[in-house]
Amino acid sequence: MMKPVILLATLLLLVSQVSAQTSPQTTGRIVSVGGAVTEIVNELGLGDRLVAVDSTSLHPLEMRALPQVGYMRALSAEGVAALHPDLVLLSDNAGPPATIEQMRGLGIPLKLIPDRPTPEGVADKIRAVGAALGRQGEAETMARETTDRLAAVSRVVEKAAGRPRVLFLMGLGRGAPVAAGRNTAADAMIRLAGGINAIDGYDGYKPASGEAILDAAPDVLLLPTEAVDAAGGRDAVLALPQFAGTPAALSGRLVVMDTLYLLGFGPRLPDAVADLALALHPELAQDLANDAAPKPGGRS
Amino acid sequence: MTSLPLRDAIWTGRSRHAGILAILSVLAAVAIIASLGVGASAISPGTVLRTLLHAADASPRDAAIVLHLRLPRTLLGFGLGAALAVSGAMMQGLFRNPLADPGLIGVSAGGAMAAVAVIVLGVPALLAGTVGPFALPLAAFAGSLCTTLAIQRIASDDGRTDVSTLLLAGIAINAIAGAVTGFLIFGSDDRQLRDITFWSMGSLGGATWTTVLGLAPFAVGAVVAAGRWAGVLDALLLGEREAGLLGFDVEPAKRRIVIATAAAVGAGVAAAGVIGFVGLVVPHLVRLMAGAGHRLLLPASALLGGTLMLCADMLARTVVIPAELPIGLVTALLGGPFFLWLLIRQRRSFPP
Amino acid sequence: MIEAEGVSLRRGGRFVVDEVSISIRPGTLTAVLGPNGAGKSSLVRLLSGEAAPDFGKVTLDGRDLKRWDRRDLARRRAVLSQSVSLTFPLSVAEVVMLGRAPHRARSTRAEDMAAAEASLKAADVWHLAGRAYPTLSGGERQRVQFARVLAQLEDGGQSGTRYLILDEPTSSLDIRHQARLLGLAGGLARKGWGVLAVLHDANLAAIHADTVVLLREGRILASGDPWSVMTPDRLTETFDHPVLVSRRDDLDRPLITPAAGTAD
Repeated sequence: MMKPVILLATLLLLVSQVSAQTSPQTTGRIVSVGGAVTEIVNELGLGDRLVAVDSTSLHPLEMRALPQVGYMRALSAEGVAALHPDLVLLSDNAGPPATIEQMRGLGIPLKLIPDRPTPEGVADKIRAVGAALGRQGEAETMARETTDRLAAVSRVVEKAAGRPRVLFLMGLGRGAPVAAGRNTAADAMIRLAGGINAIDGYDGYKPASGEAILDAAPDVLLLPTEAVDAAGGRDAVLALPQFAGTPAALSGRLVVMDTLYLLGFGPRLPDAVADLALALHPELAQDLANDAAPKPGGRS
Repeated sequence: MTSLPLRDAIWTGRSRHAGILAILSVLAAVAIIASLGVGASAISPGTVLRTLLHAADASPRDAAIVLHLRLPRTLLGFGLGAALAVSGAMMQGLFRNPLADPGLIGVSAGGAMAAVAVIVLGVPALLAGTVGPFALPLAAFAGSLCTTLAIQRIASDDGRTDVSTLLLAGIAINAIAGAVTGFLIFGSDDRQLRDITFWSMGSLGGATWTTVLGLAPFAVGAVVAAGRWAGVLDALLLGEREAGLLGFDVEPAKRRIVIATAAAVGAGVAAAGVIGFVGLVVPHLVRLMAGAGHRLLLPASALLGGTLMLCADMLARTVVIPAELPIGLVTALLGGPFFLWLLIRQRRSFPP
Repeated sequence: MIEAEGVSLRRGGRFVVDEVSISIRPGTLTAVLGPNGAGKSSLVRLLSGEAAPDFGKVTLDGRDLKRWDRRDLARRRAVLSQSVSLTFPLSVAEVVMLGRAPHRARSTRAEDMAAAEASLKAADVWHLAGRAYPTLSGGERQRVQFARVLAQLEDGGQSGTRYLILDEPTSSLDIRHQARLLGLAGGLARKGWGVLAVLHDANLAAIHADTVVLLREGRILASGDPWSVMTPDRLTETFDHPVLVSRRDDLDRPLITPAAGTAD
């Protein structure tokens, strides 16, 4: 009678070694899921209360040292529960739905943050995170500032003489490079910065053939930093045969930006738009510096 | 008088069978207990035990984790592993090919195609209200079953199913389903793409009592029915012709085996996505230990399949705490090299 | 008696068996001889009930094979196929026990074991019982399959004549086991079973058969006792190759020697 019990207990004991991951209870333990959401939490000055983030939360840098709950669309309920969070901020793009249901069932306090890749979406995000954290005041100020700065950048961009055709490529792996079509965050960024998406034949990110790229006749190539590094640097990219003959390659116009910064639609959006606008319209440098510069002390 | 060799071969064989099943049952029990005890949350063994026995006395949080996360997940994992392994064993017997697996008859490809369609195209508004969160599993199940029935239909002529045509039709339909899936993926957005990727790597993370109850009838049904088909599967190892001459009604048996497999694996795909290698490797392992007779192979595969699936899942949910690896990744990562080793070994001992 | 009356079987637009009447009689070992492609294996498929004739009918005890329950039929007639491939590691004992499948509902485990044991011994593979089938040599495999077929017909108290159909049962066997297997088949015939064997070796047929049937292009050329059927003319016609016939020294049976023909 005793033996099975002992055996069972020993087993469970052995097994529980693996799962010894708890920390003592503290108040205000936050788990943040979604790159933009995490940025906002930090902007609101609550970065030190984060106990874990998802793999898309790459900014600011110290976020990368926090425990990872995995990719935002492949979360694990028990993993999150084990962190004993007092609040889980979830981009409403997070998933899978079954896991979110399980987290609700476990009584984990969840707040879903609307996450749209639009300028208004950024303000909404900031307000939603502020409300969830009880920092409505700061959040309101931050949302206003962001909106105002975006508006200022837009006013400058409107003065631009032309609208360059911009081709955003996700990467330059083997085969056809994946290009941003309509209804993508990249498309929105290009428009905000006073450009035209050179691809308007399809929605979403899709492989584009060499001919399609030539037909698109981009004036500017826009690529993520990792893609350019992987391809061997700026000159190597501009020398690639699939760009040969495009205006961008002829004039050597290649803009390289960090993916999260460019496409994250977080609080850094005005900076990102201004940076991209500057790259697309060098003639506006002075105006951008005068009218659309960040408020002193407002941001790092 | 000198009946020793036969006794060696059959009687000691039988007691060895009992021994093997006993060992595998113990391993399965250990795996189940361990699976209940392991997880991102540290819950003491005693608490787990108490929670299982007297849920009312446990803290709500422990009770929720043990009873609503780990218990359904463990049962789902075990049932799924058992169903996949038994289905694999039956397919290998039916095709007389140790490399056959349920994927051959289109179950996985069909299920994946339907699941991707739901992810990319969404649920028709008309159905969304009624099926809601079950749209994906229901579609995966229906896709698996329809694909297999189509393959079976193509390979059947005049009530006879030609196994080699079944195999070829399976390859063709798999290719078509794969292409349709690819086409859907082409039309998907970034978010859907990620969902598809993760779904196709399999996970037990979504296990709830509903998922368990959804899989149970098919998994249990397939395992129990498999036991009844042990005789005909043994005979089929000699070929369909010999099985027929031995008095077996081969045609209906083949049809039922294919459909039971499709239902069990389809339900598995619906519950946890595509999890590879269990159906292929587990029956192999059992044959190495215990020979090819189905009377032992089928129950032993069920036990070992469930056990290994739980081990893979424990790994999947503990190595990157608090995140989780897709379990299909773990099974493929462990199963792939093992399978290669088997192949190389087999080539050495039976050169072609 | 298994009796085929004017049976024809069409495959690929031609008759591979063409209006053949033949019977497997209790107490008789019938040997079927014929060149490659004569329709011997097709005839086996018809007589075993595995294939249904396009014309004519095959009966066992007067009842059409189509109307027999598969399992009842399997207890009355067994077929040793030309080649049985088995790549899975079943043991020899398991393979032979497969022969007991049609008895499963009505015989005890002990009876099945006794039948398997007797068959293994009769086929001289008793010593191999514990071995894995795929590790056996070609000849050993053929003997194990023979044992399986014997076990299938072993049925202590059952009534009804057994019929044993052997399709080239000696193709992989050495001289000793050829003689042993056909001797055993002859013994079973004398016990009252009906035995039909398709053979390639005319001399084995001449030694062991009670009745010899010559088959060519799906038709029967001749049928009867060895001396009446195995004449030089008939054998030459059957095989399309000159054949000499003399008398054996050891027993009163024909001795067949193919002429030393060369390829033309």
